[in-house]
Amino acid sequence: MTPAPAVKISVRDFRVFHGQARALGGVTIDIPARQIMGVIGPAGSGKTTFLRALNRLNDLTPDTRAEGQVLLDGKDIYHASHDVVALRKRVGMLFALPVALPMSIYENVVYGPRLSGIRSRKRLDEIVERSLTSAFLWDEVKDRLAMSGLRLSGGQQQRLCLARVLAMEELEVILLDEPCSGLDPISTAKIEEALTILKAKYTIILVTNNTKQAARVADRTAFFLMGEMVEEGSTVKIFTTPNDKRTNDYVTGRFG
Amino acid sequence: MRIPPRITQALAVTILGSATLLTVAVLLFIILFVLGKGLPGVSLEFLFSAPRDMGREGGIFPILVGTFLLPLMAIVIALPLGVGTAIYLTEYTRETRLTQALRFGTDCLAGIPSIIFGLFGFIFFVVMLKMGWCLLSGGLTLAIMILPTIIRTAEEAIRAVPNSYREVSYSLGATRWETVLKVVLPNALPGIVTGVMLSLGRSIGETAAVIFTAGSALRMPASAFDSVRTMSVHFYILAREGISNEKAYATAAVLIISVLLVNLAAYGMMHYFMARRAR
Amino acid sequence: MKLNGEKIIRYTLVAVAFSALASLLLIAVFIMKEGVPFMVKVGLRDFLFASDWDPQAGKYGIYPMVVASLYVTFGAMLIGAPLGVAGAIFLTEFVPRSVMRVIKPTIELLAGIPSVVFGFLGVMVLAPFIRSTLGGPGLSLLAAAVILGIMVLPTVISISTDAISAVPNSYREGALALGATRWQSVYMVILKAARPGIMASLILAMGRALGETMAVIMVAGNTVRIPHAVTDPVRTLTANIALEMASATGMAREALFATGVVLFVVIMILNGIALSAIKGKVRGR
Repeated sequence: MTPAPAVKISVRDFRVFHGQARALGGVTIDIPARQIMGVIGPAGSGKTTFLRALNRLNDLTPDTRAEGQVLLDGKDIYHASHDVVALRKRVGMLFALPVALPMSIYENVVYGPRLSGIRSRKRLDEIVERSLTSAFLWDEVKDRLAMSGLRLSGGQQQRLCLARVLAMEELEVILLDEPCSGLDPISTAKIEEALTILKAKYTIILVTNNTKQAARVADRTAFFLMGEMVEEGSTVKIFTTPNDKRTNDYVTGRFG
Repeated sequence: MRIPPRITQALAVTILGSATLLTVAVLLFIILFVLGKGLPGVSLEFLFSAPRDMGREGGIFPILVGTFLLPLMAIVIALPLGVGTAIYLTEYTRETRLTQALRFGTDCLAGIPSIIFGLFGFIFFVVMLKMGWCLLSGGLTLAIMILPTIIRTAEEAIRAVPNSYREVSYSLGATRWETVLKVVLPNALPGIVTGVMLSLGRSIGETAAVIFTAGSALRMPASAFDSVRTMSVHFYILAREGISNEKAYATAAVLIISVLLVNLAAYGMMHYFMARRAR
Repeated sequence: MKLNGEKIIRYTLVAVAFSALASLLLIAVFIMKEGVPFMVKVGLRDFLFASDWDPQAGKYGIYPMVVASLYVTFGAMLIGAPLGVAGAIFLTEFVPRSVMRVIKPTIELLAGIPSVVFGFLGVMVLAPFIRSTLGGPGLSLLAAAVILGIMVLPTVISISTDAISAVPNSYREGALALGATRWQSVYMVILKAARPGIMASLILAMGRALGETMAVIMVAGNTVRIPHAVTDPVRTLTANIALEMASATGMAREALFATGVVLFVVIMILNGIALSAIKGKVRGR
C-alpha cells in the first residue's frame, strides 16, 4: 500500500469574521503536499475567503478577524510572531482577474525575486526564462520582454501572473482563485496543463466555480456552501459517491 | 402673446453667446494688451542684465533668479512633507473621523487669501523668529501656502491607483513600504507632478505673500538669508511707484509668459501621462 | 529584518504627517492667538462697527473697510456671476464638445494671470475711463468691482462648467424627448440639477474676491471712508492689512491680525459651505 502523502497545510477549526458577520465557519481539513486540491461551491460560499486565509491576504481587508489554526509544515501562520512577508513568498497567489503590473513583462516576473534581494542580471534572466517556460508563455513573449505586460491578451496575462508567482524561489504552495473565469478554452487548457505538470513540485489549491474543471484537474476536492465546508475527499469520490446530499445536488447541477 | 420657444431659444443663445464672447474677449485682450506693450521691451539683454536706477534701466536677471528660487525652495520643503502626509493618510491609516476632519481642514485652508499668509509670514518668520526679509522666510511661507494643494492632489493620485496592484504586490511578499515605493508611487507620480506644477504656477504669480516675507531687494541673493525680489513684486513696485511703465510692461510680459508656460507644461504632462497609461 | 525597517518607516511617516498638519495648524492658531484677544479687549462694537480708523490715536474702527469689502465683493459677483454662469451654460450646452475642450482650458490658463497684472490694467485703462465718463478720481469702488469681477470669471466658468457637464445625459434626453428645445431643457431641468455645483462656484468666487489684495490696492483708491457713490475711493479689509502691516506696532498690529481673523473665519465658512454643497450633490444623487 502506498504511504499516505505528507500533509502540507493543516487547517484546524478555522473561522473568519468580517466585522460581526461570520464569513467562514469552522473549517478543518488536511491538504496533502504535491497534489491539486480543488475547492468548489456556489458564489458566496466562502471559497475565496478560505483561499485568502492561506496566505493571510485577508489581513488587508479592514475589520477582518481570524480564529483557529492554519499550520504550514506544522507551524501556525496565524501565530503573532509569524513572518507574513516570508509566508507570502512561500505561498503564492493567482487572482481571478489577471492583474499585470504596469511594467514590462520582464519587470513583472522579477518583481518578487528583486524583493528577495536578487540583483545579478544573469540570475534574473535565468529566472525569467524558467518561469515563463513553466507557465507556457516563453515562446510567445521571449522576443518582447521589454513590452508592457498590459498589452498581452487576457490568457497571456494570466500566464504571466503564473510566471510571476513561479519566479519566487521560495515558492512551495500555489493558490489559484478562479483563474480561468474570463479566459477562452485554449488559454484555460494551457493553464490546466501547466498545473498538472507543476503539481510535481508544488502544492496547488484551486478555487473554481466550474465543477468540470475540478473534475478534470484536481486530485482531491472540497465542497463549500454558505461559509461552511460541507465535505472533502478524493475527486472521484466527491463526484460519484459523495457523503452529503448537498454535495451531490451541487455536482450534479441541481443548483449552483 | 406667447413667444414661440424657438424664438426664446434663439434669444437665449444670442445672449449666452455674447456673454461668453465678451468673457473670452476681455481675458484675451488683457493678455494681448500686456504682451503687446511689453514684448518690445523684452530682449536677451533685458533678461540677463541687472536692474539699474531702481529698475528704470537695465534688466531683471536677479529678479528672474529670485522668481525661480523662491518657489523652488517652497516645493523642496512642501513636496516631501505633502507627499509623505498623503502616503500616511492613504496607506498607513484607516479612514476615520479624524482623517476626514483633517482632509476637510486642509481643503478649507486652501482657500485662505494670500495676504493672510503674508501677514503670518511677516510676523512669525520675519519679526518673531528674527529671520528678516529673506529667501527662507518667503520660501517657508509659500511652502505652507502650497502644502494643502500638494497634500490633496497627492492623496487623489494615490487613491486612484487600483487596489488590485497593491494586492498583487502584497501577495508576492512585498512589505507595505515596498508596495508604496515600487507600485503605488510610480503610478501616482503623474498626478503628483501635475499638482506640483500647478502650485508652481500659482507661486510665480504670487505677490501679497511674497513681498512681506521675501522683501524686495534688487541684488542677486548670495544665501538663503538674503532678500530677493520676484517678478510680480518687481512689477508691482514699478507700477505703483510709477518708476517706469515701459519696464513694468516688459516685466509683466515675461511674468505672464512664464505662468502660461508652467500651466501649459502641467496640462501637457497630465495628458502625456494619461496617454501613456492607455498604451 | 525587513519588518524592523517597516516600523522605522511608519514612525517617520507619522512624524512627517504630524509636522505637515502642525504647520497648517500653526498659521490658524497663530492668527487666532494674535487677533482674538484684541477683539475681546476692544470689543466688537468699537472694532467692526466703528468708523474711525486711526491707530496712532488708538482708534481701531474698521467699519468703512468692512463696508468696502462687502460692496466690492458684491459688485464683483454682480459682474462675474451672470457672465460666468452664462458662459458656462453656453460652453456646455450650445457648443460642440471639441470646441469646449479647447476654450475651457484656455480660460483656466488665463486664470493664471497674476492679480497685479489685472490691477495694473485697471489703473492704466479702466480708472481713466471711469474718471472721464463718470467723474471722480477713477480709482474707485467701481474700478475694484469690475476688475475683481473679471478676475473671478475663470473660477465661476470652470466650476460651473464641471457642474453642468456632470448632469447625466438622461436628464437632457428626457427633456428633449418631451419636445423641449435645448434652451428649455437647460432652464427647466439642467440648471436645477446643476444648481449645487453652480452655487458652489459662486461661493468660492466670492471667497476669492473677498481675499484679493494686490489688484484692489492698485485700483480702489484706498481712502478710509464709507462710500456714498460707486465712484468713491474705498479701502478694503485686505488692502488695509497690506498697507498698514509694515508700519503697525503693538495694538495696531493686533488689529491687523484681528482683521485677518475676521477674513479667515468668513472665508472658511464660505468655503465650507461650498465644499459641502458639492459633496452633498455627489453623494446624494
